[in-house]
Amino acid sequence: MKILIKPLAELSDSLVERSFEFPDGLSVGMVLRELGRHNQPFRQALFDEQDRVKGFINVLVNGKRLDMTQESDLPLHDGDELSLFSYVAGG
Amino acid sequence: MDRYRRQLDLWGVEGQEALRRACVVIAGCGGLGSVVATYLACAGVGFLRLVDFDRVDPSNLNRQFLHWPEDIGKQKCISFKEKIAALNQEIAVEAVSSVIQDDLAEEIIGDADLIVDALDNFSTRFILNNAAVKKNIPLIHGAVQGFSGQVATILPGRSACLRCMFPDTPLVKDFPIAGATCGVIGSIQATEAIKYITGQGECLVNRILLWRGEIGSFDVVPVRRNPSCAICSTLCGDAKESKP
Repeated sequence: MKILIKPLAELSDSLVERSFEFPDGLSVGMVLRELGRHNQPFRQALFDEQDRVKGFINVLVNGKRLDMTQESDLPLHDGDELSLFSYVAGG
Repeated sequence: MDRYRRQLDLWGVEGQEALRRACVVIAGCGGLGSVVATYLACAGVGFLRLVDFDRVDPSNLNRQFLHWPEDIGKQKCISFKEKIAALNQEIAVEAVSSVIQDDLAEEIIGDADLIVDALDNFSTRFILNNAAVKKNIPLIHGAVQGFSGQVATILPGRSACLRCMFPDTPLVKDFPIAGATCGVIGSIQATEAIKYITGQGECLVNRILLWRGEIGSFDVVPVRRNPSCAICSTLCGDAKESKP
């Protein structure tokens, strides 16, 4: 299946937006780990020391935010768009 | 009207009158608040309620340009009110020295037409978001850090709320902020407010704008309302049909 990966904000430093080919049936969490396996800076930017997606990283599938503490097993489908971005808090 | 002559071609007398009738709450009298309050006052928003519990500190002066060296130690909302009232004597300005907390948030926002989030932490933002959604008052979110920032406009009942968009409260630490970053993000927030009030253009609804000053790049990401959002799927009041 083909998934469009859109790393935005600081995450675009370690991975450029493009479509990736993955085996059918992979979940969001598996796809992110697969990307991180081949890209150490991206892995460090995305995952914490416990190998969980950092709390201030937004993961959106086709525009809908996922709660990665509960929904990392969500299967992706051909043509899905996976957006990733960190956000800031100051004012 | 002469002071508004250069903007009347954009939204006409009708739009200017909508600005004059509008009541906008600016939550946070800091870096973002300096920019938003200045541009909304100059544009002729008729009533500005400026909310902050804090006092001016020397470390604020790199970006919070409505506070001056002689204001150090003064309540931020009072310091803001003095400058904004002098900037445009045709508008009404109210200073509210208060922490935005659960039992006060709805009272603070009152019956405002619009709220601008110029806060500095997500814990308080989520309280403000809850109150805005419950009272069905649009909320313009903005945040900054370093050279980066983000903006989104929330129309309760019609768009993703802050809880739909953000999963967690980022760790609070003493991070750096470039003053000009507040200028970029605060200006976009003020633009959103003016567009909403005058009915011009298209607001950042169900979209979040991300700014990276280091490389001079904007991204706009579509976001969707979460049908099972703990806040906007249960608290939302009746959707407003018309703009002020």
